Amino acid sequence: MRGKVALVTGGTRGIGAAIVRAFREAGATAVACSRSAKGPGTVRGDVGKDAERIVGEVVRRHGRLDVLVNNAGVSDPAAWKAGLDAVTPAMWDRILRTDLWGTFACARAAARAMRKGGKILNVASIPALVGDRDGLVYSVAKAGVIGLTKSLAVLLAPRIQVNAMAFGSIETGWVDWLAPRERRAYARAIPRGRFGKPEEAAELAVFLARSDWVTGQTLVLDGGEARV
Amino acid sequence: MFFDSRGGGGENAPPVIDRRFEGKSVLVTGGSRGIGKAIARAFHGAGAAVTICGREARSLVLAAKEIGEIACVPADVRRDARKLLRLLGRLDVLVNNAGGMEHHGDFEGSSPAAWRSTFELNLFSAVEVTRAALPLLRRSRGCVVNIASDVGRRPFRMGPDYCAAKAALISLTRYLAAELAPAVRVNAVCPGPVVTGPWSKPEVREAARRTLAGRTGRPEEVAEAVLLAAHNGYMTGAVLGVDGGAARSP
Repeated sequence: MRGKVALVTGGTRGIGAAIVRAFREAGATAVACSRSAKGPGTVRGDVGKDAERIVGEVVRRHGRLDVLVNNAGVSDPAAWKAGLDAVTPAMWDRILRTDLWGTFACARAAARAMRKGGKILNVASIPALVGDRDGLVYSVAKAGVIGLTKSLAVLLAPRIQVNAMAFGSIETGWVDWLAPRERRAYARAIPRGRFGKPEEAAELAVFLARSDWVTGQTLVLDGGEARV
Repeated sequence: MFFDSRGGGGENAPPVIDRRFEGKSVLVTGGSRGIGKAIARAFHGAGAAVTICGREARSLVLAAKEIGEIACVPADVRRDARKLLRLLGRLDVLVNNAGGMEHHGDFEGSSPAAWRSTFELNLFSAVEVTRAALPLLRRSRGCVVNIASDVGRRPFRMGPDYCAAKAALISLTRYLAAELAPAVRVNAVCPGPVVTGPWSKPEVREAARRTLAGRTGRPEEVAEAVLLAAHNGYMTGAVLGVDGGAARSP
């Protein structure tokens, strides 16, 4: 990925940070974006509100954009464990604003900047494919991301490849929300018998960032959990 | 974790050497031509000890000459699965790539013999080779990569038997991912149209039209996905579409 410029939203923690590291190891210039980002190699912004500015800032600094990873998403244990009756319009709007609109807005801004081609990688999740007890609104947003991925792949072909990564249980911040017993139960439900590592998620991102012929796909990385 | 076997980049950038599979033993069935040969070459380039098998001794020798130090075994995967696996003392990655389309035709004209033959070549061979390889794969905590096809996800005019056999191979992949877990991982790679034989220009054009990319793929592009599936320790039960966007499920 030498000479390539990548933007990773939600790039300062968890899977996003692992993708930034992997892109840099592969020789790319990777910029991490988040609401609280600071320091070199970062852009501060909220993808739900500032997509144009975030993408514009990367292009202004580095002169180009080759890869966008839409990884930013709402991370909130209260929304995650909300049962049917606890879902509110405000929660719905907040999650879809970031996870779905933020993904679309960043993709649109990036597609304008990727004049000679590029890659857009969207982070989805297996609840979008099989449903989920704990993350109803989240599953809706991620199902939207998968539909968006396919439409963008059609609309932006053949110039830009657009793919989604449907991750299963990757060991990041949300695992701290689980009690030890819950954590064991989660791992038992995964054929591979464990949570995934952020570095394993990043390996898939590097593959997609380099592939010119994979597009419109939803690639599942979940230790065998969904099998769809 | 990431290695670029293709070099590239600036002229002064040192070539990065890919050793992802150093010390690993890989078997690629149908490895003497086309996609199989590209897969064998990619594993060899990543440091693996590669064995290929195929029906034609001559093309096996040519492939070995071309790739370098790899072992080749003349074998027909429909009959020789156990014999083939007895030759290996260790196996980390099995790539069930052997398969193919023996005939073209619509459903109405298809014969029971044609269906049987297609399933033998594309499904039963993978079943038998995988079964024979299991003791070695369990010992190495290895993995299987099945080479299916985009037409196994989204049927296309390539014969109902071929599309159904590839769909069955995809289903087998997902089934085995659960049954063989956690020790052995099983994934499928579904190439779209990749021109490796004597295709006519109109055939290539028609194949390219079923993709979003507007072109057919290169064997190396499929091989990259096979190496990813073999290397990533959390990937199992996955079906990787490498097809220019021809099939877009799930």
